[in-house]
Amino acid sequence: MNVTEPMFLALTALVDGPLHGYGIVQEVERISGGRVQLKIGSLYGVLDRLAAQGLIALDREEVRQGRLRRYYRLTDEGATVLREEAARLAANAEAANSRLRARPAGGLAIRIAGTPHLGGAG
Amino acid sequence: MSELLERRYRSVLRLLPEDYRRERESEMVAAFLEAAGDVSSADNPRPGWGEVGSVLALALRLRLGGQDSTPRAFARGEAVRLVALLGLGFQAALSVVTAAGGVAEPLFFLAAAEACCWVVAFLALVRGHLPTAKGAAVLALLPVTGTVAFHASDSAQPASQTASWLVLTVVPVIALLLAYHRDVLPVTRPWWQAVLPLTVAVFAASLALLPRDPTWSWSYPWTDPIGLGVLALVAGVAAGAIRRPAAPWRLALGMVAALLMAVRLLDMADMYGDLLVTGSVQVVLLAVLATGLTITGRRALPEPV
Repeated sequence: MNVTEPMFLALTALVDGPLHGYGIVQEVERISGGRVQLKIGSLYGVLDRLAAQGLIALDREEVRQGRLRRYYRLTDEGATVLREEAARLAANAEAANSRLRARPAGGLAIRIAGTPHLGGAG
Repeated sequence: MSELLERRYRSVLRLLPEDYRRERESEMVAAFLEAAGDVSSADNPRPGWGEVGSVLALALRLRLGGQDSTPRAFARGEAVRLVALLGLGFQAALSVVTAAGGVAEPLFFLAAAEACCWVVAFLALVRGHLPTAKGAAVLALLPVTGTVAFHASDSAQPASQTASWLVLTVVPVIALLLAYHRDVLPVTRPWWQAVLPLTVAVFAASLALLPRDPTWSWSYPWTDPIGLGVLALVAGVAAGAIRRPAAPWRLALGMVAALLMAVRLLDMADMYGDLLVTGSVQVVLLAVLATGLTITGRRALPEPV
């Protein structure tokens, strides 16, 4: 299953409990440090895809100040998919970090036979 | 809360299909107004371009559905995807013939570059490599623009022909970009389905290079690119009459007929005598095909859920 970043963040937003549309927008923005600001059309595209795959479900409806709020919750299947996706991303991040830790400061100097050293003073 | 902003946002939501709007509109309006915060109608507020764009993208994905959407929306999406596939195949065959047929020097490199792009785009689409197909198709428009600019400065080439050719070139690319959105899973068709139709189309399109007999001037509109497109369409419909194609094929061929009719009408501005008679016959034939295929295609669509 291809989980895009907005789908991943929306699933993460629902881990702590059901949220309504604008609540998900706010939570996604908070989780991503302000980097991902879902527009309403995009949000409902994401919610449709997640609901179609059974990863979220309608929890309840409320009318507040004359306006309809629908709350969505994470399903067990959604939690499983999120856990697998988080593990995959963490493994990728760990691979990148371990290689970065092994990288010498200043980067690798490439020396081609018969040419002057490209690293400067060395 | 601004009533004006709400009214304007509701009018943007009219882009969405009616059944979806019935289900979602109240909820989307509530979420949008919460996100907008306290605004006054006195400030003449409008939904931002980003919001409008997101609704437009949603409307497109809902109307031209991918594999996970309703059967009806999927069938409509498949119809537009077929238009893109047929259009790219048509352009690929014609551009190969044009480039191989001895184009004059200033245009040869443009024609060769264009042919490469169209062929790559068509093969990539058939094989399910969507980013490559989109990139190559958009890239093909660059040499096309160069050729069009050249013809625009050439008084011997009627402007109507250049305009009709441009429409025929741009529409398949637009269909490709719109209908192959991110909800569409790529389908990998076998190689023979890419190579065989392209080879047949190249042979058919090379008819356009045969020397023309002035006493047969009435037949010229059958051997130009639009005329060859009409012949290919008639052959497709004749084959379909035997196999009874599903709704997407009927709708796609109906759209192709309407497109060819539009470009032939544009093109006829510079026709006269026998050519005009043949052009008119083609327009009537295309109008009948477009109407018939669209009506039967719509009837054959799956019922709304």
